[in-house]
Amino acid sequence: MVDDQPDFLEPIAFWLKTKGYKVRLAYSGKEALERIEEELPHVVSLDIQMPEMDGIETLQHIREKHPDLPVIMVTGVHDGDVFLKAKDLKISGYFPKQGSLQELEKILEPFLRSYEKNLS
Amino acid sequence: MSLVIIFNLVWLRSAWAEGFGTKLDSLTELILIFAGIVGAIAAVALAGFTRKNKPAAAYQSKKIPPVKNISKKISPGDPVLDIVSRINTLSGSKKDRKETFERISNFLNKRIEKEVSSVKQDLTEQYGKIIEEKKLAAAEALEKYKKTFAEKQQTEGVIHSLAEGLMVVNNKGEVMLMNPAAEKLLGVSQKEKMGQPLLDGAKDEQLFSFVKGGADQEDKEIELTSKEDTKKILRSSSAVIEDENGNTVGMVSVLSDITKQKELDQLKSDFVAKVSHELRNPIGVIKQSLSVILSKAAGEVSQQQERFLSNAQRSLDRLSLLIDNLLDLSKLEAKKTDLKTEILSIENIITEVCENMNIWAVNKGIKLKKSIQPNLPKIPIDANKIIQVINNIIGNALKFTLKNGTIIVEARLLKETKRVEVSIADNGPGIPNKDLAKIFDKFQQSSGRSAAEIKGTGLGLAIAKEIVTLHKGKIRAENAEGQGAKFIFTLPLT
Repeated sequence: MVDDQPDFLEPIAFWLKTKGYKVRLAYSGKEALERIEEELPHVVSLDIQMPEMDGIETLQHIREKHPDLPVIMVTGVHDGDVFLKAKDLKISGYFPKQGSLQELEKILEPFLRSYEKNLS
Repeated sequence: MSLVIIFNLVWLRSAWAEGFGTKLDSLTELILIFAGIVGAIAAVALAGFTRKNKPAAAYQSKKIPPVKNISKKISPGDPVLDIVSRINTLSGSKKDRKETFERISNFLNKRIEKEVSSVKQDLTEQYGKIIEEKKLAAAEALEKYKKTFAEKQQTEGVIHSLAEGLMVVNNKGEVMLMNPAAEKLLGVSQKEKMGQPLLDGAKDEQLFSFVKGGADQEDKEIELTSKEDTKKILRSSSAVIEDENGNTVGMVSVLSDITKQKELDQLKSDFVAKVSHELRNPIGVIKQSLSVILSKAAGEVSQQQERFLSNAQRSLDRLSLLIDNLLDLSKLEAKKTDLKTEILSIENIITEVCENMNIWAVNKGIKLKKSIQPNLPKIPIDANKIIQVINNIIGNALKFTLKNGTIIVEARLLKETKRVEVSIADNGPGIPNKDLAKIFDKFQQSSGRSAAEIKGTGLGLAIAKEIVTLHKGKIRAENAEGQGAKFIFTLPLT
């Protein structure tokens, strides 16, 4: 999960962990790219608005090495233009910051389930 | 009398000589003397007759002005000569004839003088009257002119000192009037442009857009680039000038510089976007934190704690909705919202909204009915935006309609105006008439409803109005007959 706001990430990460998921946090685009290289996740949630390297730029870097890695875009404000740019970069989902935890789980579940299926 | 005869004879002789250029012979002279005597006798008789018929006092008073010797002014062939000669043939003395002659002459003179003086008086009176009338008319005209001139000066003064640019062009696009503000705004001078087509010598294509299609009375925004390369945004409000037969003879335009206003609008929308974003982020944090606590994933929560946290979460949802609405409205007002129009069936959209809203209606014990005219044509709309409009209006109706109430959504075709009309009527408390006009203003809610009943943001109807206007439609509210409020909006077919 990538976001420059730890306050936002922490409760969600805590809740996902209680649901049995393994969650790794990154607080900038640059840090996210490093974490992905350390251990490839099954799905990435990426905040669009971040200082320095924003979500779109981070996604462009991710796509250079991992064209098929599922990425969910997270945003506080829906901006049509940014969303279209993200769509071009092949995103797997979209989650508004004010959305419910259940909604987030619904978006993430398919990617994690397919991973579980692959395991079995 | 004999003197008169002699006088006559002498006069006749000389008149003869003057008339025929020959002297009278002795026989003729004799005849003349004889004739003179007869004339004298006749004159005496005539004098006696005249004395009898004229008041003696008038004759004796000698007030009659002395007779002018007309005979000297008589030219040959003059009919007077005949009269004179006839008098001379009258009987009586020469003196009597002379007197008769004088009296006739005086009488005639007096009559003539009287006639002349009467005509003169008439003429003087008429002339005086005409002069008086003319003087009055001239004074009135002068007064009118002064008034008109003062009015003209006043109007010119007002036009001259207007902060807004004012320009009048005729139907050929030639400039008829341009005030200093218009000259400054358009960067041209009236002297150069007077009677000239506005576009002559104008490099700015934008000026063309100003004249082009100018007859449509709508406000237009024109972007001009000045010589110093600074951009200027003008708003032009134009109206057609028609003559008494309804023919277009020109156009009057009021120009205002809205550059500053536009900059402020931009600043405002940037500010709202920034603030909204900054507000949304912490809301996201609070919301997710509360959700995690309420999910009990972080440990047990007492019933009391759960109640307070739920209250906090509900208020947060409302705050979140308010910010979303504010952001939507600020985008709509700044005309930053682009419609993604498609030709769609309004019936399908109404059905979809009604199905979604029906869950809420059923919970409140309210009937949500729809009545849609069959075969409504498909129209160009941005589905999400129109859904938002119908959602906001039905949501409003649901908030104010009591249990067992009914909400009816209707749609029909308005053939004459080529529009589709959608109406949403409830049988709630209605809207007080004084609130009807401002019901679409921001943060306006009907005063007839208590604050505790209201859970909206006060922006729903303002957003609906902006969206409908963006679709070139119209929206209005009215109180339904009997009870309840009715919201009606129309959308053009094309």
